[in-house]
Amino acid sequence: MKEYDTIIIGGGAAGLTAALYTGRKKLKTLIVSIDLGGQTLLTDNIENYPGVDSSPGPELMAKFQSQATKFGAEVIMGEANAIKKIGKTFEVNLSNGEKYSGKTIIVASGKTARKIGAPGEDKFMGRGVSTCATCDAAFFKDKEVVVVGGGNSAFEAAELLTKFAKKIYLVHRNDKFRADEITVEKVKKLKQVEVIPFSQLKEIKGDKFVDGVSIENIESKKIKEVKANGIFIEIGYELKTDWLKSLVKRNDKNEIVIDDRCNTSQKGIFAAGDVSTVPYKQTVISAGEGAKAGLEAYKYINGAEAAIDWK
Amino acid sequence: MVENLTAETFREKVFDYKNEKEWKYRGELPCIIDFYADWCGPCKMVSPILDELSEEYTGKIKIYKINTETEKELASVFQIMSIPTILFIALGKDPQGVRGALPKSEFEKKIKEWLL
Repeated sequence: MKEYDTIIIGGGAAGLTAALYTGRKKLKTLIVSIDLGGQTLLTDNIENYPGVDSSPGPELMAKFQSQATKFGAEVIMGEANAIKKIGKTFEVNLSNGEKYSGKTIIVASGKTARKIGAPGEDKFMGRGVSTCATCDAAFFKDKEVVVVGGGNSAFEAAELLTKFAKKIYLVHRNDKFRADEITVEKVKKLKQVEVIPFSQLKEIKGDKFVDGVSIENIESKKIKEVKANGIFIEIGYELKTDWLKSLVKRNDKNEIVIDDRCNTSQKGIFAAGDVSTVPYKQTVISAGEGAKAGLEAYKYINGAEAAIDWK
Repeated sequence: MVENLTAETFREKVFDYKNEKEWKYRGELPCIIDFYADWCGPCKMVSPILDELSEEYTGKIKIYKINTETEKELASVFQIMSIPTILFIALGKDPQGVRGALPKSEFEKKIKEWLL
């Protein structure tokens, strides 16, 4: 089994910055992640990252990535699904069966787009089901589509889709929308948009591609069959930390509880960024937290008196 | 160098979908095709990686890009509904597609496993 000083789970702003710091401290570093760039990838234009006047999120994250790997961090695309404590080290298992050993772990896995859990959702992902309206809206020209959700991202997706699709059904579990009032009012007035409140998707149907959905009224349980080729899922994010629950303490939002130095309840495991209890889910905050976690990992390995200039 | 394909150059260099029913790759080197659009954030992650790979694998593989906004016919031939979609085309095999952005290390892995 390949051994590392630190294994970083997650490749967003927190994970990549942690890798930059551990790399510069000459720690043998591995990043395990399902993507590189995290939530910032989905930002069209980031204007509140200091020193960067304005940049598309993916371009900024490409710089984070090249800076992290420049100082030696290795990257493996994959999903970590278990960590075992073996003596003083940790064994990280990936869903593809690979295993890696780390003296320290930095969990920076962020948030995950929430799924609706309806049959057909996974089968048709990329074949009509989309979680990125800005990427995929244009492929639904003159088609009928369904947007699921009641927050800003759902309403913004519906508004964007009016430029392409001929009909947009906006399905939400109740009639209270978290989106800003101004956006809700604007979208409700658009002719192509039909809001279907108190409802949820029961099934996404099709052969090779999506051709319809069953929409269930939550109160009456009545099913409405709708013809649609695109399903845009915009129901926010969740924290997937259940796989770590036996190792680290979490709060009621499933965030990993950390102190002001990114220590979790388990010595040797650190957490940084959106996955942790640190407030304000922002790229700049995640980067700072990643740096702290990286330095703390270095200190953990080299002892409390490790020479960090700026203690 | 990464080359942008139009429907016409695609038929000449990759696959003549108007006259061939079965998949028949026309190139002499394996290739990668990136279906993208200028508005798509994750596509912008992929673009500089492909530029680097095209330099590093000169003479071994070809790298093409297709702008789905201007080449709607090609996007519909391949039934692209999500971008970026990346096709890996090996010699004598059916193309394999990957949806979503990949980091450079994954591209290198797939080039070794699927193309070379």
